[in-house]
Amino acid sequence: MTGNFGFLHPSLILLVGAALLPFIRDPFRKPYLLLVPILTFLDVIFLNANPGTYGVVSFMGDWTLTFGRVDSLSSVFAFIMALMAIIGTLYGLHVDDHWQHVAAWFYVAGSLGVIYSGDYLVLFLFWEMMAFASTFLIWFNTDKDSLAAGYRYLLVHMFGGVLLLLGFILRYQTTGDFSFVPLDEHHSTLATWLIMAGLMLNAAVPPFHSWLPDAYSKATITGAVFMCAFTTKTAVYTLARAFAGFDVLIYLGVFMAILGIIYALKENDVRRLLGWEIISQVGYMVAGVGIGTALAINGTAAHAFAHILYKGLLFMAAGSIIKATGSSKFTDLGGLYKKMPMTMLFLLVGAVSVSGFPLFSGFVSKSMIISAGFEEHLPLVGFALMLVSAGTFLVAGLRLPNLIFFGEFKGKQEVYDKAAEPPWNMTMAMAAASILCFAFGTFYPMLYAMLPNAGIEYNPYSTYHMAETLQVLACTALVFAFIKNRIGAKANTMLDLDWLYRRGGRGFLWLASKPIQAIDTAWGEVYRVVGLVPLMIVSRFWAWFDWHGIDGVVDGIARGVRGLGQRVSSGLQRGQIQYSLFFTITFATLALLAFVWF
Amino acid sequence: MIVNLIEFLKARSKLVRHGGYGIVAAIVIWSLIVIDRHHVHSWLEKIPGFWSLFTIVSALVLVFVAKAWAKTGIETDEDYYDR
Repeated sequence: MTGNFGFLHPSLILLVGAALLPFIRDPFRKPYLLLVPILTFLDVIFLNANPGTYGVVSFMGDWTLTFGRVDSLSSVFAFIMALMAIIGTLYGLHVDDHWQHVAAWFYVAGSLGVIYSGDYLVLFLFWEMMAFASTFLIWFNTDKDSLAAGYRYLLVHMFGGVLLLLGFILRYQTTGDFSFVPLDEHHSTLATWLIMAGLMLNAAVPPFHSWLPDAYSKATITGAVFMCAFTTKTAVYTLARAFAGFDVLIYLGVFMAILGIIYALKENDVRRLLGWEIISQVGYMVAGVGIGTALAINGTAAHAFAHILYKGLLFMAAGSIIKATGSSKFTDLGGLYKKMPMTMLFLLVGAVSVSGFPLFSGFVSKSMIISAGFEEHLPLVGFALMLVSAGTFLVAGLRLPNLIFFGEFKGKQEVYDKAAEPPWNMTMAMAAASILCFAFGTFYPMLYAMLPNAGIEYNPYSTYHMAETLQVLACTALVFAFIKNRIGAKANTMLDLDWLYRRGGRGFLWLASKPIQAIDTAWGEVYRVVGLVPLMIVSRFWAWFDWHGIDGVVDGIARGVRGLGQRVSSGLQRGQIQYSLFFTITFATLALLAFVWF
Repeated sequence: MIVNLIEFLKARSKLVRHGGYGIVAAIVIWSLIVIDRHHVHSWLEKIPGFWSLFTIVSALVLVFVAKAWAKTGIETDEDYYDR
């Protein structure tokens, strides 16, 4: 990218590609849909081969924006994101609605923009682009709950964005620096923790995790495939960049790894189960960031890489099942192996990968983080993550396929009769992801060569690690054989912290309508009896004064203000809260920037 | 092909079950023999078959905790938020 070649940001390819998409007609549309992410991927490979800092522009005088920081950490994340964009687009190739592809590409562009950004301003720009674009992936779903779920998702992410914004603005005030670099745990300030909270929200770290199963289970079939890959893993990248070695992340990571499994054990919705599984797996990565050694950061990057492939694969298989049966509830599924054997095969590849079977991708990545924990003399962390390994196999490797593909079909007979394998493009995408899961697990030096810290020796296929893993897998299967009916399908759900904003709001409404209204009524009565008579006398005087003195002056002003107000509101308030939110956030951002500027 | 294989195994479910037990036993015995326990991270891992015991206890604890947590009133009807 030096000399005669200009810097071409991969996000730009996606954004321009998305802008042109509505004008592309058949028969060029499908080739074009594949061409854009492939070009993006090639651009990423080209950039990664030429590390350095590109796209540095000066902005409003004294700020510099860095759009292209290409180093060993950003390279591996950008590589897998761009690769997943190809797989995801292939999976959604049959979707005719342009706007779904446009939203997905904007979302990926946001992710790549965050990964290559070198300062908080660029990071924030792309961060918000991700949040907005992915909200549309939920809104495009026609389920009745999707609109509300999209709003919840957007509001939660706006909250996270504001935390991040506050954090880096505060940091700028004290240091005069916007650069996105590692922060110091020993000199942490309020700004440090606000930035961390903002990034943590996107990584679904408790207590900011409830949005994930809620949103991912309501997105479109193809939208969920994109969402499961990009938001949390981009956030893991930012945490690894800024917060490596922060001890608090170790404990939060271990906690979320366990929490995810506990909820997934009881879940009745396929995609909610997978969502909880993401929280659990991202827990490993967050703990890896917290451990912060070279091996742990390598493990985090490797696990994010492997996770995007196998979780994408699991969401693709789940999407195929929802497309075939119209339901995502275990209480409506079962016995589908006869109808969808290929989908079952792909789901099983994803399941054994996430469970860390030898030869598959989870095996070579997860164990790096666990080893790093033991090597840093954190045996409890190591043991807790091993416990989660057993839980992962129990939930995703055994409970999930068992409830979908075996036993009796629990839905309607005509649904079962009609169930069939998905279209060719979905099958191809799942096959590609399956092959990659196997390839990176078996030929693991390919993956290790991309990791950020070079020269770290690690051999996942040592005898001890093989014996350890095989014992964990064998004994988990043994336990499952005896208790599988105890973790079967029940038409229930588990409450979580999203209760606070889904039901807490109703509590506030009740408070407003019942007790506060009652107090108001009582107070009104007292007021009428005690205060009204003297008030009437006083008010008669003021009415006279008002009529004769003030009105003349005020009326003129009032007319002016009303006219202006009407003009503003007809432009800004279109009755759709999406627009209002957009304008509010834009103005808030501008006001904050103006505050810093002056 | 996949369907036929599953049907074949389902028809011999008892054999599959016993075969499964056999594989579990083989793995545990193999790991008892081959592991060099001198360079492990903690003294717990020096216990023979430690990871087998650890896994069985872990899996049961997770299921127990999930059920106990559900019973505190956290588990509710699926249409809870629609009501």
